[in-house]
Amino acid sequence: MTDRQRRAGREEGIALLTLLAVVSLGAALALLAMASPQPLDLKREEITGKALAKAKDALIAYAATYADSHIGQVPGYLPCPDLGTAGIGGEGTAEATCAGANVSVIGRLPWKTLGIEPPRDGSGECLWYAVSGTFKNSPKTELMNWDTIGQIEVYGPDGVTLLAGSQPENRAAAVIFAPGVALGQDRQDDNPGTPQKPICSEDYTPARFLEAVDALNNAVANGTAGALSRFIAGDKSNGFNDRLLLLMPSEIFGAIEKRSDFAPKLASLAQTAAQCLTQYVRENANYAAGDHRMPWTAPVVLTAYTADGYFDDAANSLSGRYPFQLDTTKATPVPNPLASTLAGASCAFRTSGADENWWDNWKDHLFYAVAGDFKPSASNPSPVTCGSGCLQVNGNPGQVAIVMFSGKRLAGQTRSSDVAKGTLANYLEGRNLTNHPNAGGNSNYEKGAPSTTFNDVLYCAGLDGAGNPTAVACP
Amino acid sequence: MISRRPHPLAARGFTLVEMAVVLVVVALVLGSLLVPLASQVEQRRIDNTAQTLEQARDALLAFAAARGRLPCPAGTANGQEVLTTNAAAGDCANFWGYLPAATLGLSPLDADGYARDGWGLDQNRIRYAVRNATVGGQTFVFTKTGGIKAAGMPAFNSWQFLYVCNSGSGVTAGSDCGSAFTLTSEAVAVIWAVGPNAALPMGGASTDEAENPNPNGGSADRIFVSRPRATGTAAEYDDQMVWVTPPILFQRMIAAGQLP
Repeated sequence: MTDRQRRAGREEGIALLTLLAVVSLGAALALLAMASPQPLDLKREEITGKALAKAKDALIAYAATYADSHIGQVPGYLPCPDLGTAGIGGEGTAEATCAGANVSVIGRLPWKTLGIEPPRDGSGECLWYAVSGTFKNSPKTELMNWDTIGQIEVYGPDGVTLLAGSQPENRAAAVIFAPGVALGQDRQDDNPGTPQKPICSEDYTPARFLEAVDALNNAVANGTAGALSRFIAGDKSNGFNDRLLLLMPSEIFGAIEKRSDFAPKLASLAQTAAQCLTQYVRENANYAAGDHRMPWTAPVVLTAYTADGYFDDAANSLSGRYPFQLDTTKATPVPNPLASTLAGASCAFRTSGADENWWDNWKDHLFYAVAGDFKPSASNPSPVTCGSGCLQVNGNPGQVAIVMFSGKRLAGQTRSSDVAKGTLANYLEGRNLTNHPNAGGNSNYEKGAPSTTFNDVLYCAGLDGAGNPTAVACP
Repeated sequence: MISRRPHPLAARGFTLVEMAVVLVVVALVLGSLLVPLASQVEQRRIDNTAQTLEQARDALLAFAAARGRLPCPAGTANGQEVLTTNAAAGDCANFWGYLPAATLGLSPLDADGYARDGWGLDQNRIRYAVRNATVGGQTFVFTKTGGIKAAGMPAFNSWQFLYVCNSGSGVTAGSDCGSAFTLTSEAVAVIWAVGPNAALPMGGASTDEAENPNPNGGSADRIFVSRPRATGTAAEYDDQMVWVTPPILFQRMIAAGQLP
């Protein structure tokens, strides 16, 4: 063997070993890289995303079934957060009531009330939740219906772009927060000496979980009634790692509108309103035989649309809102000497537990027109047949009064402020809109299938064989 | 030539040392890798189990949305639900047992039509319990076709169904969570995996796990326990659990037109 051959053999051996070392190190590094931070982060984000989505589904389910779980109420309400006032045993349970009316509140997501497992984000922290004052179930806002607007604006990472709230209708009803790992915050997770280790945490201080950036603080909800709360869905940084999921009013009512009993319920409000009118007249006829005169309507423009008292009848008003206060009608010349409100004993709107809450929350959707022959200042006794001095529906005569339920706001309509609510065109369509103010008391109203340009629902009051006003489906 | 002999010998010695170094390095690397790998495998099984449970719950809700009832548990023969009479009566042969994975159309299934948790053995079949209750005059209200609709959603208010507690200590057997924390008192159905210790002779027998029916017995009352994983003979807990409550169930059925 030559020296050269030996050297060559030596070199080959070293090369193999080096190769082995390099390959195994490379494989080890590859394995480590596979096992470590990046995919773990993605996994965490995925868990967080799922937890947020599940919480949102549960909130929608709560709001859509609120009238079933709370008999006599209208649907749409969200629970208060869990603020920890009930102690550890009450963990996950929504507060029975939180702050004042129309005040937004932030706290822990009430998972137990919602009927879900403790919802943890990818870092193992339980979720937080801010609810708009207009959507919480106690104390309740004045009008809970599909025009109720949220009080939460959410900004994008730049702190300028609005993700929610560019229009009042786009404001969020609630925001769910995933807090992520502590960023220097001193979270008090388990105080010694407490009887039982809590499921999530004993710490109910939002600032120890949620962060602020660009002067927008996710840990603070505005404590003023009716004021907007502003949150930020920022980018992850050393000082910010919250993740947000928004719940919009349209998503809540989208779920409610899918209920097969919802549209019939709303349509029945017009029927109930017509029945209350005829009931009022019937009671009056007990005092003055043959007097079948109907009340004046309330004006279209009201001071506010919240309390019953604003829905006050106005003299010589033959079309407008459905009236609650009837003092003007009573004074000129007195149909029904007893009732100064539309609170006839058997009006379902005033019977607690029946439709009272539906009236209270949906009253701005009800409109009413009265025939000239049956207005409070018409001749008495009232005619026993309804002719040219009466209203029509699609050309069908004989209507003493017509009640209209305005339906959902259509494209171009807005009801987000009191000013907008005072515009009839934001509620009614077609001839129902153009007939106003129905000065002759004999206008021809419009009934039709709902479409993208028309969705009023009508119910009529005609005369029965004996000349008594009776609520009937419009012809 | 003679003067050069030591060099090849020395070189061979160096090669051995180098080999030893390489082996040590490889051993160290493998050692440091295998521990995390083992825990990663465990974690993946836990994750897979959680995923299976979520899929099972979704399938359960989809079943309710399509049929207007929840399925009965499967028996020991196969992964099909077992009714004594029929779905119109809703009389399950048992109200706890295996998840009827074949009835729900889940996949993948084992040869007998059951779903298994991440540990994948025979004894790792997913379990399922559904509440046997009479609500609004409807017997077997959850498992009878149209039972929930006939009772009406408001009839379910203030009812207690299956309890899920965070500990088996302090529960009032057959009744409620007693001094243990109540995670829910209105679970209509509970789906759980018994985890790795299902295979062991004493598996699933800690106070907490004994509340969840498992291969070694377990209490078949309406009390279940769900809490974070823990080891140790007395405190061992490796079950994973999800549950379904009325609001979530009702909302799915509403969206599908089964309710109200």
